[in-house]
Amino acid sequence: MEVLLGKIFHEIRDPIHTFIKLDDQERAVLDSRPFQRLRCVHQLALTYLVYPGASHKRFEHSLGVMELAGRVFDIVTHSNHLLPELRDLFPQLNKDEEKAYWRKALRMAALCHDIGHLPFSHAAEKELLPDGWDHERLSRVIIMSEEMQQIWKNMTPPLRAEDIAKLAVGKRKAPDLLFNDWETILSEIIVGDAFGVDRMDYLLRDSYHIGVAYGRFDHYRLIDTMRILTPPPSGGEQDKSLEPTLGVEAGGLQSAEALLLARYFMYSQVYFHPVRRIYDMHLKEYLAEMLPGGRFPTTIERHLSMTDHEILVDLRKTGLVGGMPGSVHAERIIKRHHFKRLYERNPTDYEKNQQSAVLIKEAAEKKYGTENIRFDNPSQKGESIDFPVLMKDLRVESSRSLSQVLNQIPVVKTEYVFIHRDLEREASQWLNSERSGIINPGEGR
Amino acid sequence: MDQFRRRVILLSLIKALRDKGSWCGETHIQKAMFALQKVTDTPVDYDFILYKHGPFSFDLRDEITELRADGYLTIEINPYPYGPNLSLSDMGNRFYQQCHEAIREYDSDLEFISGKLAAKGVAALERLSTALYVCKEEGILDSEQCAVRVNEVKPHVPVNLARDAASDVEQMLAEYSRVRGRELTL
Repeated sequence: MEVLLGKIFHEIRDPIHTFIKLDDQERAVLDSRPFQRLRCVHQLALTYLVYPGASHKRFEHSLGVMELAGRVFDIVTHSNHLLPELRDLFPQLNKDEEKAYWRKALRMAALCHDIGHLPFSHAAEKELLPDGWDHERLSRVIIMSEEMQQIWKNMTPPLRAEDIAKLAVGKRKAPDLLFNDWETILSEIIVGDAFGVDRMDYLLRDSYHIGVAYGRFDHYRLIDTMRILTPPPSGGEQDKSLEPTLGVEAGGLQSAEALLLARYFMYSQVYFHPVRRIYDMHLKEYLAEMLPGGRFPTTIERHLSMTDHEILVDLRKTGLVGGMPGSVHAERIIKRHHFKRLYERNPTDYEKNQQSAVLIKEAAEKKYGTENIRFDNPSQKGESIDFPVLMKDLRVESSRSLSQVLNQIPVVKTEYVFIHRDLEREASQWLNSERSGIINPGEGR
Repeated sequence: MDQFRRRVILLSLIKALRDKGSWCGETHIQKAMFALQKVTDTPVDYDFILYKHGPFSFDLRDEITELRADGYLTIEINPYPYGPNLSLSDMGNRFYQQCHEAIREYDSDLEFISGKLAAKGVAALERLSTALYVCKEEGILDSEQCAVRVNEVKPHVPVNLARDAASDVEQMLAEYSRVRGRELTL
């Protein structure tokens, strides 16, 4: 704890950012019940069953995102870094008080951006929440709750909960709210496609805990070179919008390349790892039988009372004792009796028939029964194809026209057919003999 | 509409835009798809919100990403002052040829929208599609009010250019009604 200009600052040790600093008012958010709950939500669900080090939680990730958001804010709003033609668009930057307000709102939004996460993070979110709900909507509800409003009101200056909610979830998840250019840029700092700080922190943190080197990149350099720019021209010198967006100076292009490469490797090697994926599927099936009505609750009290801890206790008991709802699925996780990979999309089969994986799944279901087969087809989402780069002569160019590396990074998508482990050997032999006929139905064997 | 037909329509739109000389960057595709939905009522059902350069659909961006991952779309790279553009790969063209029949009923709508928008650049599309959004989603039909609203949501678009865009939207909607009416009569 340190006292600076009458304010008390706290320093938290962090393996990624060394020290994360926050003042007393921000500390009140950290100590709140909804935020403390994130200590009990694994960042990567059951990934620790594959990579034992991956036991980190949403709590420290959220702190990291706050730290990086503050750093990016300071860089992109520095008067030396703003293009003259954009200054008039952001009157917020002409008054110190207003600038300080938005800096704090951004840091708090970054801190709370994952506050609505369900147990096991993304693992079961899509299937086990009622229609129209996702963790961002829960985050928004919590940020706007009476409990959190009290904290926002006590800050100096008081923060508007709606501003924090907007910046925390971004335009995609708050389509009913109108974002001006300034708010759009600030939310992009957190959730942006190209180099939002959420993405930066999770790549660095996940790779550190998992023990792989390829999630790392020079985020110091990248952040130092981030700028608010206009988009590059599209179909010729005059063909451009003047809408501001985040980009980098030319000197940061290699760091941006490294981030996007890191993302590619992390998706292909970690996030879409087949055993991680099948554990998620078993977990979803277990939760669907264990949760009342097969769905996660969406009221704040019930949401806040449920973490990985309560579920893991039940999962262990159910898996070991047996004979309870969900015990078949729990056992597959607790006793490591997960389904095994029978088939994975590959370029040779895909070139012959783009439906190869689906056809093999259908044939396997027919042969071995749907209860013994699982199908999964994860794909990277939301890849922006370009971002602006500020050249030394102040031209703004397309990252794609400058970087051969970016043009070579594939989008990761795969398809898996899994089978009950007791059938794996027999099914592999069956697939070896039938594969050609399944993939090329017209050609026979 | 199911995902298969939606994908075929997206590939068909990209092909139609390119055939008519569009630069066909991501923004061109986003705005043309919005117009296809809102002017011709083609039921592709992408969720559009006012965001990057006007109406923007994250679902559509995800679909484009997935079509790249599946090898149906490729990014072409160009030197300054040109940005990247999207085109159908060989595999994408084969898929289009095999599946186009499934969406033939929308051919004339694709023709109409690509004919109207292919020649427009990013800035013009931003203005036009924002005016269309204001008109269709916010129900502001009066051209002058529409122009003021466009300037309000996109302050970098001057009112005089917003006014032209509002007028273009009015003409496009009227022309589509005429063309459609004629087709229905025939």
